[in-house]
Amino acid sequence: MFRLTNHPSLCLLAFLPVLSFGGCISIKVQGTSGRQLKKASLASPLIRLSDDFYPGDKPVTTGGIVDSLPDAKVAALQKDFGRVLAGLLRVHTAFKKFLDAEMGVTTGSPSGLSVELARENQSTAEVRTDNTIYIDLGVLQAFFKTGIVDMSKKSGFKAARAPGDAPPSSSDDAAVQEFLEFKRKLRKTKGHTVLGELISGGDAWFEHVDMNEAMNTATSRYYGVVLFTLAHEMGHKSLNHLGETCDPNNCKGFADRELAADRYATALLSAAIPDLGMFNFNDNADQLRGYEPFFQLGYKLARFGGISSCSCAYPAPEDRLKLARAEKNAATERLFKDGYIKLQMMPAKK
Amino acid sequence: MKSAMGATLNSIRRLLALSLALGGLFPCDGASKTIKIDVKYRRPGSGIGGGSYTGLVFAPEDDRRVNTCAIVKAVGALPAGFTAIPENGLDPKTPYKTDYYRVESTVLSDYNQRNPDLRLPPGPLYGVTYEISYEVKKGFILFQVRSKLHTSGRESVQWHEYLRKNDDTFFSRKLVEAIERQIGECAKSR
Repeated sequence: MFRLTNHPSLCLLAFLPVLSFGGCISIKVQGTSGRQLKKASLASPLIRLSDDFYPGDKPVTTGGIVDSLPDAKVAALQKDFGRVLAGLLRVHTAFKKFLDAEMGVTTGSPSGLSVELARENQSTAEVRTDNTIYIDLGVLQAFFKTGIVDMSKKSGFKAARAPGDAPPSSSDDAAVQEFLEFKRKLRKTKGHTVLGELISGGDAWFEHVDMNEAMNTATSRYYGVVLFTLAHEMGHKSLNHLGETCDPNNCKGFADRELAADRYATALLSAAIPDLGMFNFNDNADQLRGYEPFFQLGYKLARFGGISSCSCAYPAPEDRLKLARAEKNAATERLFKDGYIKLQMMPAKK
Repeated sequence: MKSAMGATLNSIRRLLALSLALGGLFPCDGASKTIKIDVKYRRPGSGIGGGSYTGLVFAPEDDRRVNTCAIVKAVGALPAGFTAIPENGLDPKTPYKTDYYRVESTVLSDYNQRNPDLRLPPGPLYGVTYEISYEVKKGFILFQVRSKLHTSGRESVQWHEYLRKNDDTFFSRKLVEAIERQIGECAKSR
């Protein structure tokens, strides 16, 4: 027999109209619902990329499906990258004076650059003399993995592997496998409206909060790597490196240019995503500046071999990371000193 | 007048019949096929990390030099040469004709082995002329080669176009492969 008292939330619901009409309680239904959180998580670029690289959430294969990715998908991805690049070009224009002072040279305009996703099957992420930044689809897949693997090393996606499934052989494949499990779980977990949550009870909302947070964290790493890569290539153009040929007898010159491009990228992204110190409540901002996930993970996952096509060695990733961290501090100091960042205290309530 | 007309018509008919008969013995093949090949290349660049790229790399200002070098070296290795070549190198999208390349006996044997139904009978000399052009597109260079087979008597200095059916892609493919081999070296050299 159905007893109302066995369902406390229904009890409340039954009385709500009475209480409201009586003017005793006015209820405002607000806040982010589980349904909204679920929708936001599913719209994440990482979910969309995993649909492209691992359609049907199939078991991970080494390399994914880079070669068979349809042209229309590549074009859509390329359009996204174009938008990101356009945003960075605007940042350069807005902060040109700051960049000139920070780099110690008059930076050139990187406008006219475009980005193309290539199917060269090479570890390619470079700007060429035809004013195009080429990023190989294999490298893009590695950037996608960077977000996933970094999460996996920290808290993971808290999704259980199905019993009986053998773990994948390599650690980054294992992380992607776990992410695909998480994605399946995300799709299955019900997303209610705020009122629905009141009625249904349960922990679904909390699960969605956790999942949404995990998606945001992983997404910040992915975008960070993308932003840093694009900003680094912009740096080569802006610092007029394209006019210089790599000379195997002058590898120091080559290394200096790479470090300068790293500094430019860090300075640009420090201006775009400033470090607000103790007011920086969002740790993901740090990741969005990109040098952390790029040099810690993305570099290796993209299989950058460390030797350029002219036989000069790139500086070691750990040295580049040290320089980028130092540059972020220097750039932040200048941004504050020159008034680009102002912290306003909240006025006291009267 | 009627008989003159009739005689003329008969002559035309006889001429037509003779042409058809000769055509049966020496069927005309029409225009030879163009062999095309795409050779991938990329422009020099500055990257964020090292890759192991081993392909063709050259700057836009080297387009003319690299492609001219590859074509001239490939043709020279036949051996053959160009009837005329501009001083500053070959222009893109422009067909250039070579002079006659005399087909060696080894190449002739290879041809006959691959084309048993279109064998070139021994005895006469065989020569090939080529028409070559290149075009630099984004990401690849398009080479187009067409060849024409000629024949000559051993004591003769005159080449005649070989009118029997023949494999009109055999010699073109050989030259295209030779160009592909040369272009890597030409891109590296200064």
